[in-house]
Amino acid sequence: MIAFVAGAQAAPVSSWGTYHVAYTLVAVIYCGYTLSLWTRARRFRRSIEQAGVSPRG
Amino acid sequence: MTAAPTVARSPASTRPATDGPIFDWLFVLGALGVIGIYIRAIYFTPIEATQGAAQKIYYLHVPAALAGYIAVSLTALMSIVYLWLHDERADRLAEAGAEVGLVFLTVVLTTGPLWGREIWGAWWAWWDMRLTLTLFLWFVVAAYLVVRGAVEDAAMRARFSAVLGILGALLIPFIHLSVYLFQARLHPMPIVLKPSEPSLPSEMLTTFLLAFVAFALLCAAFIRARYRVGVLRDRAAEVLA
Repeated sequence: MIAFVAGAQAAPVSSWGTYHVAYTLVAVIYCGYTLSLWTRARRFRRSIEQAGVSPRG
Repeated sequence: MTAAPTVARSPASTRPATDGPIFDWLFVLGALGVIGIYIRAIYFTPIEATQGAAQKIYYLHVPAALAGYIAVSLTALMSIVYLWLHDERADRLAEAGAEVGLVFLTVVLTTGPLWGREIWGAWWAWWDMRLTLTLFLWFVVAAYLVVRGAVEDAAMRARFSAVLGILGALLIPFIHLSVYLFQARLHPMPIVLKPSEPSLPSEMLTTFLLAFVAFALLCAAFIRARYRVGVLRDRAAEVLA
């Protein structure tokens, strides 16, 4: 499989660090994007409400 | 079919509600699915003999790539629909697909080098076409969003970005087939998406398939939420104009 590709290293004993970093980064990216969507929605809703219009349109 | 390059307004009765939450049951399902995949990958999936724990990155990296391809393909499809019908909803959905696709491709380009450093001894190799073409796709999708932010005229913005959206999606088959087309590569041949049976042990295969479903659900939930944000943005622009 992947480890047999030319230039591959021997079985890494301490690859838990890489694994933890990757899983944490992915969680941060998805949480950050969720927060970004929520923040934008709240900002637009406030703009609409301040104009005295229902957000439903 | 009308040739007028104007953005068709959907009737108010067909507009989606924008006063409810942008995240709904689909988002909860997708988020719980991804959390479940974290737990299954950590505690209930065996560690690969040669790569160690780093191989578990596979359960995030590949499903995120597939979900990203689905999102970018949706952008291309909706771009075609927009160029045909000039419906603003198709344009908004294309935009949502591009932004969410960029997020998933960012996950791919973040986890890939981390995994590659562990098993290949290199963060990146420009001669690996799957790596380079994925980065190229990321830039095309980013350019799509930059164009949307730069062009003020709605019809022109939708038309220009639609062309970019379609061109970007054309890269996807090349990315998938690049391991067949180029001899010099680091990426392995497909071990699941291939004509013959998957080469993964059953426990790993189950985790991978569940991860794909979870990431696809999260991708769909993000696209729906982003579409609703687009509706709110356009509504805000209307009332403030």
